[in-house]
Amino acid sequence: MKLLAVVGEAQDEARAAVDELSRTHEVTVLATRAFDAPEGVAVRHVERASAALEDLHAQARSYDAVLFFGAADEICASGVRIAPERAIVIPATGDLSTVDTPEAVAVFHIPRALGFRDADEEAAVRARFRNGRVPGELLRDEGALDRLLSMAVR
Amino acid sequence: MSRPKLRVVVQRYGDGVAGGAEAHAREVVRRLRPHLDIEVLTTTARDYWTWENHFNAGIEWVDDVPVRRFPVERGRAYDFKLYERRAFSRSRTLEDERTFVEAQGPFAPDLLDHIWRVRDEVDHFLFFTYIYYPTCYGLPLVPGKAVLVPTAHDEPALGLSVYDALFHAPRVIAFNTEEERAIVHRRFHNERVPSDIMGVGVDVPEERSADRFRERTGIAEPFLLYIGRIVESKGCRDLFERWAQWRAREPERRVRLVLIGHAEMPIPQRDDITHLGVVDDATKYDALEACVALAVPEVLSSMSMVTLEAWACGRPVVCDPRSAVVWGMARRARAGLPQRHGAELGEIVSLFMDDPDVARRLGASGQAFVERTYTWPRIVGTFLDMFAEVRVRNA
Repeated sequence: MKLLAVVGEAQDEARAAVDELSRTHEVTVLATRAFDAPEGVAVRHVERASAALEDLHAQARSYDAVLFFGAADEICASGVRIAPERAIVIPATGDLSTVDTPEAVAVFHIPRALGFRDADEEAAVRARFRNGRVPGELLRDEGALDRLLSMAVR
Repeated sequence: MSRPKLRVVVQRYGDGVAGGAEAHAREVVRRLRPHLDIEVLTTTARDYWTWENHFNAGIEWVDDVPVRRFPVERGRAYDFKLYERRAFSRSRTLEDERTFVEAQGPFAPDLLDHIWRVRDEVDHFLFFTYIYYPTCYGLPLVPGKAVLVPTAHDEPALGLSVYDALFHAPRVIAFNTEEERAIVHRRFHNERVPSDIMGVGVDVPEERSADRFRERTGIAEPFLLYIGRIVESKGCRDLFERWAQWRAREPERRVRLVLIGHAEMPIPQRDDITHLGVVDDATKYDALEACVALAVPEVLSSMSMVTLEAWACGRPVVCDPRSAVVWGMARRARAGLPQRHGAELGEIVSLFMDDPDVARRLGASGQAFVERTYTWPRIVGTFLDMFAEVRVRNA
């Protein structure tokens, strides 16, 4: 599959996921900060979030799925809105109050699927945002990312 | 026990506000009022083009429902057409799209602030019309409590990415027709968002009289009827051209085209076209009773209220097959025929005149279709079920 990884604040999760996904998929990274990508992974680095969003606007439809690593930062909160039909969000947000803002609240309602670090994170998100309609997956084994992809790809 | 709180968000609302979606919103509010604690959240605008502040900001009561109006900070930009052109071009940027939505208006940020402020104390929000600023930016503030009535049709704006989130965010989408749902699903691939076909209820008076219409207007011959704004965007230019093509080929047939509505374009000066202007409802229904069929030349719409009214009166429609909605409905209802050019228009009107049983059968089929789907008790019941579902999901 052709995948785009949009790197927001969840950089550690992004690194681990890109490393795993790039073994079997064609992965491109879009980031506003330096990103240490594995060999064979293209990185599109842009200076500002606004440029990243324009990039997404122009390119998102050419990917099978777009993975957002983060939720509260602009590149993810606004980026998910541009490509909801192929968006997977891995929020990795410890403090949910940072996401309960006018700019970011929709992040948990509009993507195709959500990836959680653990059951506590999922329970907290479900309780706060009542978003049971959006399927989720706990990222605790090697196949979890592929299961997430299968939820997002039409 | 207090009733569940519903806030209805719509770009304009109240007396003197013309427009299909706005009238639809008001009728839905009137019907839901006995069941819910409703407040309408809207702007101070009355005119959909300028969005000029006409009403006072603050609370006004309309039909015994509080209407909270927020000022329009910026109306439609004087150079809006330029922004529209950029947004609809193939090389558009995200910024072009966002600028288009704000330049289109009504830009009312206080309305969005209010939605955000009251989000926890309100049980559900009902948003009307996808295309304008209040819904485009208001709905994503309360996705878990939002029901969207998009009134979408196949138009360039629907292709903009800025609307993508809107169609994936709500708890439920209430479409006007099956055809509108198909257009939206094809564009947004958002089938996982629950949806239903709602539309509006159609109430036509039992007491309608073709004779009264003929006496009042002096129109004695059979006629094809058009009701609505007489404007190019409603397909009137095509209708006039096709009428002229047919009549040039068959001038001897005794038949007339009767137009009801405000003229916003020149009407051909012909002996076989009569423009009655704007008429009262009783005359409109008498005209529907008297006509051979209703012409619905409009290509772009999310629903055609007048089509449903014609069917409720037992009359068939003659529509344009390029209209995904009207032709789609006519096919499903088995209550209309499509015309692509003057010869087809003539063929259909002649068929209805020469074999009235055909017109009667199609009209009766339309009547049954309206009774099955577009009645207020069904629509109110479905809305209340939707809202109950939203409350359960947020409990």
